[in-house]
Amino acid sequence: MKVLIVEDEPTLLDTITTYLAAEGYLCEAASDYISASNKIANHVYDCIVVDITLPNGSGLDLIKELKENRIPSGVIIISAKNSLDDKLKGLQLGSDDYLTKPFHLPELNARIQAIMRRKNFDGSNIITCNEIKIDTVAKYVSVNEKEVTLTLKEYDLLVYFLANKNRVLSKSAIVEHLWQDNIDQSDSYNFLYTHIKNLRKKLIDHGSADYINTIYGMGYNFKTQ
Amino acid sequence: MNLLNKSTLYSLVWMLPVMVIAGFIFYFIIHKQIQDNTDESISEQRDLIVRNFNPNDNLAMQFNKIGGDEVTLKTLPFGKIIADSYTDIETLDTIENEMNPYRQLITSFDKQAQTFQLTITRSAIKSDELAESIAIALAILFVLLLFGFLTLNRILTYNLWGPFYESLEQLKKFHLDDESQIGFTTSGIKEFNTLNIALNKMTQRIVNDYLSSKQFTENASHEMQTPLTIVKTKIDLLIQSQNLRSDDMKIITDIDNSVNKLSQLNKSLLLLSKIENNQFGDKEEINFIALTDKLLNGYADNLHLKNITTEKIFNEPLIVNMNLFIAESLLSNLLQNAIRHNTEDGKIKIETNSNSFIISNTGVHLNGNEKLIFNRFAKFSTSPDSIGLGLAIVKQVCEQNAIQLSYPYNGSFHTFKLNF
Repeated sequence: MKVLIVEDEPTLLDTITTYLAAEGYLCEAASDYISASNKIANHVYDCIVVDITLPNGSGLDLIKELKENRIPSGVIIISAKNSLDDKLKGLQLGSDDYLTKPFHLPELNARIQAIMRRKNFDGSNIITCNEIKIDTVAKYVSVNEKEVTLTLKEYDLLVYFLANKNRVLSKSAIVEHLWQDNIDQSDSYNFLYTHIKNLRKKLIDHGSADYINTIYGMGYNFKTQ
Repeated sequence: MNLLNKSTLYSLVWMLPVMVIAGFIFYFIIHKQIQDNTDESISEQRDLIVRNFNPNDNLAMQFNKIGGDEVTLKTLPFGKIIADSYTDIETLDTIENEMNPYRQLITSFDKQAQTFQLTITRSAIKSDELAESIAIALAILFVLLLFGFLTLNRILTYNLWGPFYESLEQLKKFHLDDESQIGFTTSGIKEFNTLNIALNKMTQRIVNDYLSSKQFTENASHEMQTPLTIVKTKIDLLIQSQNLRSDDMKIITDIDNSVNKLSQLNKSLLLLSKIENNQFGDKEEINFIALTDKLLNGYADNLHLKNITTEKIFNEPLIVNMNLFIAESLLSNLLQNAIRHNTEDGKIKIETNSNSFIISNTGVHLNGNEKLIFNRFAKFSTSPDSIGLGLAIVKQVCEQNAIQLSYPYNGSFHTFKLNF
């Protein structure tokens, strides 16, 4: 899958590119409006990650360009601004998602995958991982074809794990994903432990292998390798 | 003392002596006129007497009172001349027992080879009275003149200083936070125009400085987001390394926790400064009961963890016209606060009426520090992890939206009351 990352801060651009490349995306980078515009003109990307504040142009204009030229790329905006106006404007212009800085890389990854599923580039809305199957449209989870009933949090957790397989995920990253930082971090770690424990038990009870590993003190890893 | 009174006082201070002196001068002039008039009349009387005098007649019989004047004659040695002398004399009136004023002429004349001394004494009461009446009339005139002049002066001064008073009023209305531009108008007076132009420039500068300093907080917070993102994402990468020992992991975990705290702090500060800058404009009708329910659902895990029970007393629907995002910030901060500072197996009560919202929770007494809870970064031993901005945000939202916030603590419950 081809991804274009447009970000003017070079260290951040490099970090994002490294991570996504390790996830298996074919990554290209641009650090200003003009080079991004050129790249878009020459290639059709599956997904574009774009920062709104760019030198010599706004990320929003890039999105406008995309839509004007009917380019079907998925677009996710990353921005330091948490303003509702910007979010709405971005979505109105045709972006698929909006991620506020600072964010976690696994979060970005999960969002890209969600966009891909929605746009059906993968061809389906089914996530498969060995015996585990998730239908993201029906929100139906099964292990070895047998349905597993999960709570909303447990479902979100599983989807997140499967999007970020074999990666160490910090507790804070997972918590931010599940609760969208509506809550104070310190309290959430306890809930997280409970939800993960429950998810793990349900999966194993239905015959799945034990994928969820605890990385002591830091977080968890959904290991399939 | 104010401008008008002082200028009136100054006018009074110079006008009064002038008028008094002028009054005296007028009085003396008039008095002299009257006296001259009297003397002329006495002189005519003298001429008449001298003409009609016959020395052979009985002296006492012929004169004594002529036309009300007292006349006396005396023979003088022949050739003696007494020059005309007019004097004021006073004699005692034995009946009324008071001194009466008279004007007296003593002179001499010759008739039929004899010299006589003539004394004419005329009562001066009437002329004195005349002089007095004129003096009084004059005094009244002068007082009216003084009064009229001062009043006119006051009115003119007031009109003259009109533009100045206007500028004063404008200055009084000046507010840093006021969006409306106060303007200082032009008038026909050069000095006031100069003043107004200077005032306009000054207020403009002050407002701009204030706005840019408010912007600074927001801009600074914005700038911090990207470096924070870099740290967070680098940690995401770092923890993938296979070469980390558990000690290393611990260090990284601590870094991660601090960075997250920093992120939250930054986000909250940004929110606070945006609220202060009134950047949340779009208002709509917010159903507080529905919003409360939605937020409580989100906090279900937290409530469960501490085994907190919630009691909802929704007496009446509470609909408020405000920005949705702000309303959510307001309620979620109040709820989070009620949860965080609650005890195990504690309780939260939420009550709504048509124009009030009351949330109370069980919790530890704050040792008399209640006044401080709304201060930024105020922390208490019960919650070492809290950033301390939640209630500051609540307070700011209330201030910006004309909501009355009170914190009546009644023994066992911490209560926050919002009045709309």
